[in-house]
Amino acid sequence: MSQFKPLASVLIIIVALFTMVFFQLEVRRMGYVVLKQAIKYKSLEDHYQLQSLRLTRILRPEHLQSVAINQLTMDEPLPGQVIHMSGSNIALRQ
Amino acid sequence: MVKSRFFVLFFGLIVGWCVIIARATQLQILPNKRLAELERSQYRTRIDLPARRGVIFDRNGKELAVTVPSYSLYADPKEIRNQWTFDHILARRLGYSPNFIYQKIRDRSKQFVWIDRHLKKQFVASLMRLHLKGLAAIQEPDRVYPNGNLLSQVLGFVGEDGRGLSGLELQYDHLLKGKGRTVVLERDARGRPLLVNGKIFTDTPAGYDLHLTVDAELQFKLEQELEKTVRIHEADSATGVVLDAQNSNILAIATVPTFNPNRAWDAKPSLWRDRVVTDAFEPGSVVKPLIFSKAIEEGIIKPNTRTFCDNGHMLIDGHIIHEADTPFGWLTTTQILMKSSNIGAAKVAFAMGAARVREALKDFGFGKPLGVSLPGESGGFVKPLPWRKIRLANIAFGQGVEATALQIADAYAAIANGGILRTPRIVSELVNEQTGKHIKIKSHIIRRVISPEVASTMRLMLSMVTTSEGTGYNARVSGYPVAGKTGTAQVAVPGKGYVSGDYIASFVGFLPANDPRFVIYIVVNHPRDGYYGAEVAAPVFSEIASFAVQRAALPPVLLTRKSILNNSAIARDAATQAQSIARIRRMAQVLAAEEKNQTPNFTGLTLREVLNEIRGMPIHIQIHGNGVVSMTVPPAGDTLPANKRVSIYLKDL
Repeated sequence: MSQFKPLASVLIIIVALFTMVFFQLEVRRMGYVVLKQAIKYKSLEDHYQLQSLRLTRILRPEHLQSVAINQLTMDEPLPGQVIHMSGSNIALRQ
Repeated sequence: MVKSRFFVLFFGLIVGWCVIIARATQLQILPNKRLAELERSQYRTRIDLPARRGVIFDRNGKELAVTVPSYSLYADPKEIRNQWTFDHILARRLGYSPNFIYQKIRDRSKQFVWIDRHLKKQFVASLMRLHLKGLAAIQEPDRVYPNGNLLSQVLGFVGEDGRGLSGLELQYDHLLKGKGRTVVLERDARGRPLLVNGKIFTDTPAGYDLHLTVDAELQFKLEQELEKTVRIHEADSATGVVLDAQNSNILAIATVPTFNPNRAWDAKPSLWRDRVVTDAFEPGSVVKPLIFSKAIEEGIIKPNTRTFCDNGHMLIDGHIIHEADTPFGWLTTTQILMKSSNIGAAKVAFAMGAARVREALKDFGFGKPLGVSLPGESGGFVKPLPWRKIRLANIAFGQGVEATALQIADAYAAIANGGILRTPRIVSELVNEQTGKHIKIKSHIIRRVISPEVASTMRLMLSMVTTSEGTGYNARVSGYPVAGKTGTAQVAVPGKGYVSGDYIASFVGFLPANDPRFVIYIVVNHPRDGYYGAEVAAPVFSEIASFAVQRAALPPVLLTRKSILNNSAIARDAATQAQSIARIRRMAQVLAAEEKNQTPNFTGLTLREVLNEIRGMPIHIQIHGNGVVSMTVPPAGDTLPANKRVSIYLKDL
């Protein structure tokens, strides 16, 4: 048994060193994965911003009015055409 | 001899080795800043994370200015191999002439020249696939105004480098732009960063987002109506502002013609100016109520004080003052406002004296910037004393004093809100989403200008301006009492005096007159087809006001009807309810008096309500049927017969 003790110590040291190297490599590898995902995230964020801009452009008052009048053949409401409702039981913003 | 040569060689080698070892020891062991830096630079990299410029939102969270990523192309002329191919391919793809590209890259001593900026990602990627030597692309933030011309003068714009150059972009540049970050990271042999924390890439530093008090929909309506007016009346320009009557928040603010901030350099620089705050002008008759309110406050006049208006001509210091149109004899103070009598206003100013008139104008905020957070605000101008009599008379009807459109609207907001002058507010809040910091911007009270009672009296007097006998009839809004004042000012040219045919037509007012929510001021500069404020500016007021009350879902207020007296919306608590009802009763009495010679509209009222309505009026009624009034003979609005007899026909509900 005593003959194996130095060998075991050397083995433990070697395993510890290998484990350390393995984890360091794993950290590096994970770093690359995170970098790749971060770049993807950034690209998606940019895409989201561009899509939000598109939505804002579609919803701009000028565009909505043009669609309402030209495509949906709607007219501007005249004051007399607007029905004002009041009272606590009406689900309208007062 | 040989031995000595060997010795010298050996000694030389030893010395040489010693020098090398000493140098190696010096480099390896002794600290050296330069070498340490060189060593670090070999395995470290710096990444600049530029801050995203903050977004500008309207009051409902609609984006008015955003920053999106874009791509810019640059070239390194030293690296370009085939110049002809480079010029022609790029010119064809970018839509320029080959010579234009050539002029950019002809100087081979340069290593960086911009080819084109702010392009789409897909387009740049397609160019990169051509593998043109010497061409590269980088990502740059691009400021975009998705609504185009909407609110352009207020938003302003940024330069190519992303710095604010005008409007809110300039005023809040230090907060909008944010602070970029530089991160130092270790890198591998291929130059890829070795990440410790991936968050540094996903967290983009950002500036503060601006939340405005402006309503984009109302703003659009205002700009649209002003553009229509400029076109119809062949005017040079028009400005308008809508304020929240209670706290002077700016709900809409426009100057037309506008410009597209996405292509600001294509527009004339004069269009970049936000004239509502930068341009002071002589406002004309709209200053009369401001002077009158101070005169009433100090007990100099009352609403029913009668003044003789000299039948249209008054001689002062060798100058004759005329009325704008019709001459007047005796008028009450209210009628002076209703008919906009210049002579009547001058006489009220004489009764007050120059010092008090000047103080009144100063109190209402003239002569000093209000402190709104927009760049280039003008304070207007009130001449120092002493004033000659003719100057005092002129100032009484708005000549010889200068104010911005915002100052005038804010002065009327003071009358509308019960007498308190406030700093108009356009930015309500600044929010940094990254740090979670909020900066609330509160509305500041400047001073109390008039008492609540005088403000109430003024509201009543100004509501008479929009009756059928007042000058502001065109400003009426169906279903809502409007208080306001017309203004028709001649334009003064330095050295020439007032130029004939050059006018500024305006209308300022608020509604509902009994419980004001909106203050609106419309100014039309140099209209060629019509020039009276009543015919040019008042209809625009009516359109904007109609839209504003519809958008705010305000229930209509029908004066001279029983219902108004029971309108619970008017009274928010017991104390104000009593005040409001008393005020509206007075208003209803005045309006009823005005309608004395017309058949009132009783439709929908019960018999009891009809009897209450006609109490004190010389009307005799004949009743037919039961229930509520379905019709009257003569019909509502027709002239009463000589015997003042009205038949009412009641019908069961």
